[in-house]
Amino acid sequence: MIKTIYKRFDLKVTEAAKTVSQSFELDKNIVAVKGLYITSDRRDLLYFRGSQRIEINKDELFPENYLSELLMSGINVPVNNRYYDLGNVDPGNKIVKMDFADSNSNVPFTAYTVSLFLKCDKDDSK
Amino acid sequence: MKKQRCIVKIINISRQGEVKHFQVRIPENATVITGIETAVRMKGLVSISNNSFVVPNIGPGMGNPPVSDFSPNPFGSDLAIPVMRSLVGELKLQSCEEANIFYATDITDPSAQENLEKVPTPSAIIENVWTHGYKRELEEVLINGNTTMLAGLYKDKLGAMQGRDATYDVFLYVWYKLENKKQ
Repeated sequence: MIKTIYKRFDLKVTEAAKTVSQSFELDKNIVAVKGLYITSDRRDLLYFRGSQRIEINKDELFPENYLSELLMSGINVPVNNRYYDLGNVDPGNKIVKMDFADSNSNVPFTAYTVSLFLKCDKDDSK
Repeated sequence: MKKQRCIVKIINISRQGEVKHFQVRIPENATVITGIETAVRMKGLVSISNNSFVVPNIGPGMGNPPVSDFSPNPFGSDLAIPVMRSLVGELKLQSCEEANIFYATDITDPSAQENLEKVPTPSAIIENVWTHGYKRELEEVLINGNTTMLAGLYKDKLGAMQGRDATYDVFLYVWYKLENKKQ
């Protein structure tokens, strides 16, 4: 039976104007990735400073310099619509890689955490 | 199965009224161009209202300070400047295979907070684009991917309206579909 589950992965940004790369592993019984959402404990910094490259199963979904603001949704957006619709991405080797780049802007830097949420389909029979 | 890919083009603007011509190379394996996204990231001076200029100092929960805290309009307070607060510039794209432009848009700065709905929140929470902002959507287009490149033109409006140099980057994202190698 297919169930929808949500996975959260955190990435810490501790230095200004640096790129942080991290790989995350999905559960082996996840059969599809349907949606994606990015937020942070300092959403203002994420909005004005962040950009990222994201790949799943070595397949690039978002290229370098894809601004974080394009993947964020505020509380004005209905809860069920907040995720970026990915369609039906094959998780393949179950590895999700995010290269997050912090860039200098008018907003002063402090350390912050970026949270990547994935909406996934899980097959319980596997 | 067709996969989607995205090309990023960054246009740097540093002078008032600057006009930039640019090209976006389309890969050989692109079959169709499906969508355009744009964004802007300010580097220097930002317009907050018709008669004020400010370098933003944004902290947690601060929102916009009162207008009276800003430095005055360098043109004098009596001079009315017709400024659309969020307008930054205009962008046009043309496919090299077809006549006429297929995409034109006003580039706006969402952080000017023109379109935020005032949802009922406790008074301590100030509406900001990063807390209350809308989800950004791809603008769909349908352009033959056989073109080798897109020709683009960007024209600054923000600096021209303010009468001073504005420094910012415009991000253009071109989404296209490509044939999977398995087919």
